[in-house]
Amino acid sequence: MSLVFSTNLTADPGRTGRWVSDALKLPGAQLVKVNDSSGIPLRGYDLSDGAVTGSGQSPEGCVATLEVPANLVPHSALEQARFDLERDKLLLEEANRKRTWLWSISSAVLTAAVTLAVALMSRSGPAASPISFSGPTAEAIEACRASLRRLPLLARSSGQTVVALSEAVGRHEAECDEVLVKMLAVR
Amino acid sequence: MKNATFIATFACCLGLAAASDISLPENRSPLTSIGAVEDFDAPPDPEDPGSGGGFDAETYFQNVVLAKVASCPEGVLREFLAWSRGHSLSLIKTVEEPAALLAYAALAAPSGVLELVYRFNATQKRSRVTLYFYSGDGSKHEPSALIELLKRYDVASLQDKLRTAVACS
Repeated sequence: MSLVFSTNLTADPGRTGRWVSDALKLPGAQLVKVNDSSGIPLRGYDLSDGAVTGSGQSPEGCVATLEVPANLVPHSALEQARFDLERDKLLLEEANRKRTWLWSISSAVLTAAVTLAVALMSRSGPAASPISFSGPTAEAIEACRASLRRLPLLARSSGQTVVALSEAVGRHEAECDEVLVKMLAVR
Repeated sequence: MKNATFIATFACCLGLAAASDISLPENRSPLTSIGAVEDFDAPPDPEDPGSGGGFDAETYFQNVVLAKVASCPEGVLREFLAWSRGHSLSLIKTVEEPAALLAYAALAAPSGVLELVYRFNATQKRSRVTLYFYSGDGSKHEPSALIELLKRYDVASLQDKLRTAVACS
């Protein structure tokens, strides 16, 4: 199916031997014939680059008969399609940006949640409990007991002096005091 | 900042290592110490005076691996008593328990007290006998400062006997 219609031709002011009409610029337009103002057909004219060209008499005031495809899409429709395509592209890019942004936020929230969970778990351990105390080691208790048993023997040792014994008592106190404090704390 | 911390830590470790080669900490300076374990790869004994010290300390104090470690404080006390009598030393106090022993001998020169500590740990399957010397002011003295004592009382022979006694043989 095609559409056939006629249009008036006017001389191209920029070039000689060319006659133009807006209808000649339609996509797929084909020149059927050219008639003079009285309707007599003229020969030797072609349609080229949206204009009628020829070497015959000037077709000024003549009428060109054109044939265009019936499914010719209006230029505005093409512009609309192009606009729709651009809009779809922008929407897709915007959606991708939003998706990236949401992923970044989700990742940050997840990282924060894991960090908080680990911190809470470490705080809830028995070692971090403010009311928990670690008692003295068995070795420390044994050493304290040995020090206690050794002290009277040192007091009776030959050549013992008051100064040396005082130092021995001080050493015993230093060895046992912390042990006893720890034992009282875990009572 | 991290580099400075690392350098400070490294320097501190170097200082401690150097100090351990010169002298043992006071609480790790017995005249002799012999440990017995059943497993060669047993965890370190916190009472081992040789652990954490220099190479000399690790080779000076002994650790033996036995097929079975048992508690035998009476055998340890017997050997210590025999050694004391052999050097005219008198045991001034003994505290014997099923898995532990404390025995004290008085020394006149140098003036002080010898303390023998034996402990058997059934859970960890280990035992250890250690001999300390305390001067009158209650301070311990490392072996390198008591060479004369080690020679005069032949502590090496006591060490050999204690090694046998720890094995309960």
